Amino acid sequence: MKLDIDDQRLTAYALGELEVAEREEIEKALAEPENAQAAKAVEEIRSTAGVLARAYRQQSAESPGLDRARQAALEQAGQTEDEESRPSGGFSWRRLAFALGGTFVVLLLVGVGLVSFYGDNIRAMYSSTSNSLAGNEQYPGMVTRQDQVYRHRSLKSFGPQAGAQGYDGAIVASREAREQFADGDPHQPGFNTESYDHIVENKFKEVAQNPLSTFSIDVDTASYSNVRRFLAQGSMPPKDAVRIEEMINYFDYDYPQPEDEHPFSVNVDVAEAPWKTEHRLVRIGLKGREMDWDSRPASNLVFLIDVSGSMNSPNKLPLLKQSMRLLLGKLDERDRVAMVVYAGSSGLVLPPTTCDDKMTILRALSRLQSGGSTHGSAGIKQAYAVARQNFVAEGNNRVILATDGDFNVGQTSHGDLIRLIEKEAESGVFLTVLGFGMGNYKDSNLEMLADKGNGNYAYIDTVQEAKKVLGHQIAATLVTIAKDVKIQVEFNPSQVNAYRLVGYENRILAKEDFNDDTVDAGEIGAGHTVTALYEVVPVGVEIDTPKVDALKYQRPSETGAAAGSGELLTVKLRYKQPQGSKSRLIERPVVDRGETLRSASPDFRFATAVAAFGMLLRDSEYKGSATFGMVGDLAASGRSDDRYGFRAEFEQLVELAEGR
Amino acid sequence: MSAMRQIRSKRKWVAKVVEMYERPLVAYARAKIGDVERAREVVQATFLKLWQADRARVEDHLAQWLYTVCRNGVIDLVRKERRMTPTDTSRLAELEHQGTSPGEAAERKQAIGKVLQAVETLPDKQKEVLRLRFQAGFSYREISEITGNSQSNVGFLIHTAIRSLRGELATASE
Repeated sequence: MKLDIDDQRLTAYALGELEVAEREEIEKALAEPENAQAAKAVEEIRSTAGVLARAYRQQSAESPGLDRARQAALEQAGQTEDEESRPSGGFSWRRLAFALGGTFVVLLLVGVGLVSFYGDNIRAMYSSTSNSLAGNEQYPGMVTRQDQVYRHRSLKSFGPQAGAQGYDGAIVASREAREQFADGDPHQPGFNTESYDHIVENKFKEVAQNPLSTFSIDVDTASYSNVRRFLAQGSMPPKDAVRIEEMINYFDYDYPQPEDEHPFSVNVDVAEAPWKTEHRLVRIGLKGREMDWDSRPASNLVFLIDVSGSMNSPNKLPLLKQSMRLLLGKLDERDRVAMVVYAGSSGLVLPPTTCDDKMTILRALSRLQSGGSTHGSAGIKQAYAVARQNFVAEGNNRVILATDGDFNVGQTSHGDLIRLIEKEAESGVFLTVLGFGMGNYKDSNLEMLADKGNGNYAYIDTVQEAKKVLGHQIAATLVTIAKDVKIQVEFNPSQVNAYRLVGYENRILAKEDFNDDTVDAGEIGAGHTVTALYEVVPVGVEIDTPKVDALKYQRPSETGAAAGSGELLTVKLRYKQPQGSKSRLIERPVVDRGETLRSASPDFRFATAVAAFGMLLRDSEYKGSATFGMVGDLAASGRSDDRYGFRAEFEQLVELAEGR
Repeated sequence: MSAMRQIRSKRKWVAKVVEMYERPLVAYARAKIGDVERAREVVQATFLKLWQADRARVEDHLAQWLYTVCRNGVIDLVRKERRMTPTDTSRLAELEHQGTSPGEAAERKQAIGKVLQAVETLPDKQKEVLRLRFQAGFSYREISEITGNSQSNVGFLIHTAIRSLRGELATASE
């Protein structure tokens, strides 16, 4: 069937408006070579549609809403019409109502930045970048994806979504798709292209079958700030956005400084697991050597900044610039900064400039404007090239990538991007990934880049977070003190029946990888703390694990003498010096002294609170008797030194989650 | 939206609806009626009507209800005043910016301005269906219910509008 390029059905087809039969007919016809022109027309229609949607979305986001007088008048009207029924109270209902009440008031005062209620500090952060509440980001430009999204709920990139605060063109356009999400989904439906890699939780493993547990450390914190972003906006985070290890590692713990020749200290303690008291929890904590920022080595930093069209909203490029300015405030004549942007074409917008000349750098920063599509791979290559050209031996060489992660993967395949970044990492230049934005936030891309690129990854949702990552934690963010850090734990079968590593699902290594120096692992920065938790089932406590057949050609191995030592396990670590290639080994045996939660340190309790919180957010099958109330109590009892208020903020998040 | 359905108090529910829809609705009304203030009048009247409506019945097709009521509100207001000012592109210059640098604001105006300027040259009916489709995300069927045009008419309007814009926007920045 020959299609006229002006056929009205082509538009309807492109926009997903045809009924099944007609759609298939057109689809078939478009595949015919005689309709090549028509197929091109369809592409143009979609592209135009994408541009329109973006333009309207922007206009909508910038549109004024109601003025304060009218908002107040509406509220007045509400007083007389209110049909609220408050159930008679238990404590938790009061808290729920109180938290919701706080939400209500602040949301009405969006854009005014008033902070008045409990739980509002977080939301105050968001109201000052109020347009962030105004909505979802980049329409993907291709209506096709939207069609697929409506029809295939299982698409990974269409997770349950939260950023739909402001209504805009992103809301699902057909009743059918809306209804798909009408029931039982605590997340707001909406059009969103955020992407998260799926996580399959670590299961319990029998020691007899799996005496060794091996994984790479991770200092990323992005998952926690991302979860915070969702909760503060009034939605639950997608389960795959919850990486428990990143949440635990968001906080600083009071581990002692290293005393020996190693760049970090290794600390292990054991106590009860609050969600299942017959189980023990082993906490392994590493503390990197603190570095006085003023006595740092010279830095060679290349900012690689995404200025594509999708970076346009206030919670992206403007916040990025603010973050960069913060960072700049910490640098001086020892440090050199260059800026590469990528969008449409990529380019060096600032050659390496020493940081006593802040004016030049700030000017280049303020000139940044967004527009164009994202040509990530070219930008990455260029940034690393600049870093290599200006390499400082014994110094801190780093590419700082700031983006929402939305690379045009049409240009570069996912695999190509991985290979590119692995290759670039070989040069000895490290990477810091700073994620911005929401609605099209590509967490999976960014985590992968940091992972393969010898880097760390933080999600900057607010200025406060920028101040944390680039302010008081700057040494940890920018200065690597040990790389390829791996942990291998051997459990003692006379003491341990089974164990489960909490989190670190995408950091698991094969046991052979531990001694294999060619296998890449995570980096630790100056002053970083890294915490890993194992839930341990002691011998004598039953656990239900899948049974493995007895071996035919080998007899079950016998326990060695060490099994009688009373040790619970031995922790081994391998790490390399930042520019080294040969790993060094640390070994620590651990004895369980039978501590209870009460006798454990406050830090221990707090870490377990965060772990339990993560498990609840993921609705994990291992959450045991954990509840939000338990998390809140544990956190409160673990408050200890909370200089920047992050632990208090955590407790607020728990309240928010409880109230959902 | 299930999360909203869980809000028991009508007052809080309306507040949430206001928060979500006030900007797009004001943008929509403003495009039809010309200035912000009168647009706000209409949008507020819409939300007041929401108060009086039966939540259970509205909730199922909330967006469509809001836009329909808003649209009717504009028509009523215009009928009362007996005139309708055409939108003009100079109002793009009024768009509020919060905490952005002059450079960013200018750049943004440029990109939006180009696209929306092209749209401004289209006939009113086409403009409206474009906005309902691409700003509000309604389907052809919903647009036909809101505007009172037949579905095939809606399809035709959108088709024609996009065809006019296609050439001009082919080179617009992505």
